[in-house]
Amino acid sequence: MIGVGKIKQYTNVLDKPLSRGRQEVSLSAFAFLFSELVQYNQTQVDNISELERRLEDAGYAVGARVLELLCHREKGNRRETRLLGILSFVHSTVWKVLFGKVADSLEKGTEHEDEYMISEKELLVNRFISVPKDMGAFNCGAFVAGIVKGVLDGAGFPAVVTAHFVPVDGQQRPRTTILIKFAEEVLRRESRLG
Amino acid sequence: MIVCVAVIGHQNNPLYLQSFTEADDALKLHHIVHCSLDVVDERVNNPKKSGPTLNETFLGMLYPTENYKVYGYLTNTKVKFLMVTTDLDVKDADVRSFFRRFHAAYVDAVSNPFHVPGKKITSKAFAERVSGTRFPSPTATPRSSLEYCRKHVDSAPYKSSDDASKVSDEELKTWEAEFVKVDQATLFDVILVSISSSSLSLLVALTTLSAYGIFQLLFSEFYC
Repeated sequence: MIGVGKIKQYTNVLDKPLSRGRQEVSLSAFAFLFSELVQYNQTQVDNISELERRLEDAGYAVGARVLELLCHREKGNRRETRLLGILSFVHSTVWKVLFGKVADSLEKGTEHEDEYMISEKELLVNRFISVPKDMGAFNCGAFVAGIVKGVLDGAGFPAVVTAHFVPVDGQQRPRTTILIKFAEEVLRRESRLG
Repeated sequence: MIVCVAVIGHQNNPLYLQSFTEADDALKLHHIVHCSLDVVDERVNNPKKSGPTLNETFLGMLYPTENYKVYGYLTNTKVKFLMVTTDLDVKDADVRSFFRRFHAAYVDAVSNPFHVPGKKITSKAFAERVSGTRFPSPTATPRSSLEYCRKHVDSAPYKSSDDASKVSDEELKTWEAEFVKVDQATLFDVILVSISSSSLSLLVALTTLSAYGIFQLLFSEFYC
């Protein structure tokens, strides 16, 4: 879980807590690592979409492993075969393990049948990032989109996942939305399952 | 007695196959594992009873042959674990606990950032843990970490006398430098073990320094 507390050093072995405790990483350490990741990728590419794709690939690897880990840790585990099941798994469990809280909202798209959106007021990874004007609509949330894509692909729901800024009236900073567009075969399978 | 364990990927490609008999019928065991995949597919696609047994991870006994019984386990990512055993009466609970430990070892092996999903699992620590879980025992430390501890324990008495300590420190350093010149997979395994047994803090520092050196090397290749 990112963003909670610092590790306390115990001088005396008798003072150490018995359990291993929750595994927590400090937000500043993660922010530093993430900024290095973005800067390193920036030197490698020529355009914005390539940069987004690289961040997404990095997130994909994380997502695949997070899925394995969470499925192992959860007791009474069931394999998700339904669309809503896997979406609520991503929306609550994955978000809770990674960011310490559930995502703000999960919505179904109105225009297309296969689109779903997970929204967050401010993504944790974007907290210390400001995108310069000449980069247009670039969003470092592509990393989180990659994580979601990794989880969905591993669970057998291939999808195209992207991150977008959505301006909200009455607020200065736009909301971030992760748009999930499922592949054809997922929808067909879902309609077959009834 | 468990004679064979196998990890099969979601496209039915073998990721890890390990047999524990010395006899020549290792190939026969592989063949049995391959045939059991059909039974797994059948169970997954046509569940016998709907409701509570749907989407369970543990699949139960798949396939009895004349000498062996095959048990299966399916994870969320459609990765299958298969276990071939010669025990005639084995309790359900024992098999389930074996698969749980096996799943833990598998998750640790896959979390390796150097592991490519879909390729074979080449981690030695995974192999050692699997060989260790056949007999119920506490977590097996990889041999290399044991070697490290032993070397340091042996050199500790030298620290008492001043003359011998300088020589032995240098000797120790060269030995340590050689020790971390292993391949990436083993390095990661040693890091994992040293972090989990937090008393080996020196080992953690050494291996992460070495890993940092590798990263620097990789990045310098990219930068110039």
